[in-house]
Amino acid sequence: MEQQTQNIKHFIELSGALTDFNEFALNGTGQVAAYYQTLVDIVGQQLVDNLLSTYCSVYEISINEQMFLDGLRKQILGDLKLGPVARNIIKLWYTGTWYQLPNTWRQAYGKSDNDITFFVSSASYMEGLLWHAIDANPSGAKGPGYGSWSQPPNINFDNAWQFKANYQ
Amino acid sequence: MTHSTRTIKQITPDQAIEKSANGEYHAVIIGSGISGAIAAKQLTAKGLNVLVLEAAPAKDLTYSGFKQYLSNYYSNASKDNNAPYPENPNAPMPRSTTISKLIPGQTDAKGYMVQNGPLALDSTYTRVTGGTTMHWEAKILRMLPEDFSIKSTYGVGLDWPISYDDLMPYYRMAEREIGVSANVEEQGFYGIKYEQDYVYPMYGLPPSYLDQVVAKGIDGAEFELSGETLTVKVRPFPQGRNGIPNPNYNDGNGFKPVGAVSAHQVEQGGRCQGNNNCVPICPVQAKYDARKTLVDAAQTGRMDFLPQAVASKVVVNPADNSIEHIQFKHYKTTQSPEYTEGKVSGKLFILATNAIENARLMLASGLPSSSGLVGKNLMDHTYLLTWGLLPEAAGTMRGTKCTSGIADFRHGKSRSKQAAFGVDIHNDGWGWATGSPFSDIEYLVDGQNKFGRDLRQGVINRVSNQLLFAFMVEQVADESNRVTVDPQYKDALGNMRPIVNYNVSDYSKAGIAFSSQASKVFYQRLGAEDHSNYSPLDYGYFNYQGEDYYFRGGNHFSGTHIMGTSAENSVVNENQQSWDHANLYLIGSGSMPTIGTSNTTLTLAALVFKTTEDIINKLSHYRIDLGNESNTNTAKEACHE
Amino acid sequence: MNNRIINNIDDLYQMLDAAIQLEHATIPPYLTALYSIHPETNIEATQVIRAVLVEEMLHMTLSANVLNALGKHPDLTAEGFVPDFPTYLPDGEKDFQVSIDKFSPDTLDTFLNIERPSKQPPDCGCTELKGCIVRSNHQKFQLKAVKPLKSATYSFYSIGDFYDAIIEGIEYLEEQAQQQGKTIFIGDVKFQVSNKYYYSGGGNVIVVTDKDSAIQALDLIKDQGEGHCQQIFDPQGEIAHYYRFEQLKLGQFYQLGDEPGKPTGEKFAVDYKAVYPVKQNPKMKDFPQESLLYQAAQKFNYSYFGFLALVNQAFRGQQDLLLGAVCDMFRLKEHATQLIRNPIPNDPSQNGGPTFEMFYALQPQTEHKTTEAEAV
Repeated sequence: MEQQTQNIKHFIELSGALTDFNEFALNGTGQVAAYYQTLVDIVGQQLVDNLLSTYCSVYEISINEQMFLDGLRKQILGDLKLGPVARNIIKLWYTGTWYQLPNTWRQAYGKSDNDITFFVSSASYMEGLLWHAIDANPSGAKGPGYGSWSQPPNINFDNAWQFKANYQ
Repeated sequence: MTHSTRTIKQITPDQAIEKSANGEYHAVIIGSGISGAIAAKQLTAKGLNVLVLEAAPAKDLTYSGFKQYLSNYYSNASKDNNAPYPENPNAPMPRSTTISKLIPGQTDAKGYMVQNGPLALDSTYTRVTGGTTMHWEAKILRMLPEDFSIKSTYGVGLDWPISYDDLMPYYRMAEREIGVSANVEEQGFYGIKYEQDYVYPMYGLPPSYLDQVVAKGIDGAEFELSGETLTVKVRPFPQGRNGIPNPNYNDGNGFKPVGAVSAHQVEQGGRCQGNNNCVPICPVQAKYDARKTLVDAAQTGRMDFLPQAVASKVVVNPADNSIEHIQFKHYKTTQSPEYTEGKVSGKLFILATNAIENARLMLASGLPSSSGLVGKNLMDHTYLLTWGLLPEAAGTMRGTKCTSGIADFRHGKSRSKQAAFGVDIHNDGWGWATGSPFSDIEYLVDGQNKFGRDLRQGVINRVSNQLLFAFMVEQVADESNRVTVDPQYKDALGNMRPIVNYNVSDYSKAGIAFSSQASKVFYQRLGAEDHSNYSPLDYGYFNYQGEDYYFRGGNHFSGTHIMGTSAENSVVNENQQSWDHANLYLIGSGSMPTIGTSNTTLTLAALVFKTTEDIINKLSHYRIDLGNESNTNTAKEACHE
Repeated sequence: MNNRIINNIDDLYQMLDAAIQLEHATIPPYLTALYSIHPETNIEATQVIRAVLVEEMLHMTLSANVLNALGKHPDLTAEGFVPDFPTYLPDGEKDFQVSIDKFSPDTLDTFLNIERPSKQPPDCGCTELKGCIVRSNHQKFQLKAVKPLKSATYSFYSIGDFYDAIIEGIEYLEEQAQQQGKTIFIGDVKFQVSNKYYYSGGGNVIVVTDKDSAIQALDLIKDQGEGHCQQIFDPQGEIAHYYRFEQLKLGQFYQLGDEPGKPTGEKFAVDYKAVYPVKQNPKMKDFPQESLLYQAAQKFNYSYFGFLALVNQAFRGQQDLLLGAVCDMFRLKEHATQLIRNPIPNDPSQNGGPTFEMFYALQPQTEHKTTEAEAV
């Protein structure tokens, strides 16, 4: 349980850096637990642990944001095994959809029967971060009100992720 | 007041059969879409008893059933026109997801609608209670007066047996039934006229910010065509969804918008909230759908509603060629093809399924009509899509699907040489063409290797700047475009499926080609990147005069039982009454000989009002005892105001 | 002392001020309970609470129209207009308090109390003070925006009783005025919020210009709340709030013809577990000052005050602002939902929520051009 809590905390931190949405925005979707569980169900706990510990080590050695982002790109996004998973996490947050992993990845690291393209839930569709990014509502939900569309969009980065050096 | 318990009571097949046998029905109506619903409402309001058969279940009449549609939509990985509506092998419907490129000479029977080619048509309709108005976009245009006489004016297509003036009062009734939001002063162009002092029931919806950006760039663009100068102006569309009621409507009595349909207490159906999802389902029921009309009919107490009953055969009495009864197959569950059969009858019969299904049922019943035109002259609007990126964030993906467009290519002398077209500015961006915005996320993450701030900014630039023009190109009547049936293609209940034979003529292709040129001018004026491309692998691909294009179907099926001046040149008369069978009416867009450049629903709804007026006149000759009922009826009508 | 609660025009103004405050006071609890429910779960509870919430917004508008018709304007930005939760309601029921809380059986009981029908039999024709309980401790009732009534100290058993007193006052005062060839309805009609800017599934707003339209407006509030003549359904087939909520308690819908307490409609389950654990009556001080949750909660309160200010302007002649207020309400709803889904950093077993603490020193800018009812 303790480990799980710690993992979810790291999952949120990693997700924040990958998506540029802060923890409040990520929690605000109500999807943290569901996405973490989806990830574990499909790629397995071991790989998730591997991903999160890689994230932690990148973070620990980074003395500034640039170094941290560079580490993420090289150690995680640029990794044959972790890269596709990390990109799936980004797409999951932005769209609410789990995308089936690439065939080459599935051949190399195992095929889960659950690894198909699907919306995690009908709620996850509505919580895609892409809509927040462009100040729009997910089509079919959360209508913003009569006439709101005739004003320019209010696009801002108020809830953007921010690098914090040296946690602890 | 809230229509908190607006719903419809259903009857059993046995009750319908028994009441038919007892001669209790003045009319049997097949289909509960907009045509059937308006017919039911108008006839019951005059004290007539009707039976409505619906092929689909009627779960959406409860809020939980409606909510299920929404949940289906949210969780469906495909967001196509019919994504919210459950698969039903007993009354299947076409889905664009089953369409693929046709191999010349081969029939493609993957989807419900069998594709015989040469071009694949991805248009759909929805077989649920309320019909295709559940998924329609609800842009609701009148036809231009010149559309009714296209043959005599421009030498192409077919003339209507009636004129705009004949239809004008019925347009008005249809606009009231649907609850149209528009401003007369923005809509009276190219011959469209209104009665003096007419106003639409509700004020027009505000144009989107995207519309304003586009208008700034392209308003005033001039095009020389057939010796005429066409000047572009972005104009708002009339909308079949709730806006702000116009207090001047109905001689200053105003208009009361119609709210949601539901068996329980739910607060929905107010003004459009901009959910950007008119197609395939309005989540708040601000958009008109035919269930709203159907409920009104039910509240008269004179409509019997029998869902899960698929009409399977129209049976003719050989003695006088009248329709004797209609056979139907009733199933208990969509999970099983088991059914019971029955027959229903009334003084007259109204087929209100849609242009494809009306023709399919007639042909499956062996009734091609004496003209042989049932199923022929199938028309649709062919769409050319063009898409690009504006130099600024235009707030795309907000608002109702489409608030404005361009009408300036819908009329004029060029129609003798090339198809006219209307243009829609899509508030949902590239969705129709590329699957945006999901495909954009895939592109940015997997293709562009973006993450973090780069990605977030990339999403803004890639999505909020999107612009898509949909050029809705006219298609004129052509007998070789047609619906047929063949016993080798049947659905789960053993009913023959529609087979579509479809091509796009050079006349339409010329219109598409000119659309493409106009589009290039627009993008240039807007300083936008043009991202349009048409792959030869696309199922709608064609090459015309050396250029690549593709088209998309417009879901505006029509022409399969055209109206005309005689039994030789048409299937129905101007009142949509069959020339061959005096007690049979085929209603809907199938009756339209020309569709011009207007989405078909308003015109077909107007036609139903004209038809029901005729039916009521005719039935009064039968000396039906309307008795006291007409009094209560008047009161109810007043109440509905 | 006579039998009337309202004896002069100032009494009436104050009662209507209280009415507006009362209708508004139900909004934070209903809104929080509504958005504490996990999305896509508890469809019935969601639709019921939402329907009631939408109508409370209508009621607030109707009360404002009545007050405007008398030539006075409401003040939604007055200090204390938004109660400090938990709170007694401004009409003075003494036996329960209202909290900002998650959707739960206790919350539902409170909602039933808020909307409970009068104990008075309808049209009893009795002459004593209708449904009124004499009370002495005004401080307890947080009528901060409303000065205590000068005439007497009363509290009411039900909201319906409270409105009965107002209606009685209007009838009495208007009759007095008429006898002198005057009217109490001296307000300019331009201050009336009309259907052009307000309409929703929650019913039509009524423009108030005279006694009849005022009573019609107040009757609508009563009928939608506790029921028309204490019936479950009104003549249009609309179900009253009390019975809407009771359905959730009983797990079954009412249908026309049912007896109170014995619904016969479709049954359904209510899942109190599919709810975010919102901290009861959250306050800013409950959130660590440096946390994102704190910042967001503070921003919500500023925005909410801005929203009230906008509605206030709309009630003071600029009714076109209501269109924009709706859009603001939609944003506030999203914002509240995010707060409700965020654990409190130093107390992760509980989630945050909107605190509805107003900062009256700061008057936010409200420049939006555009009925809050649709937004929830």
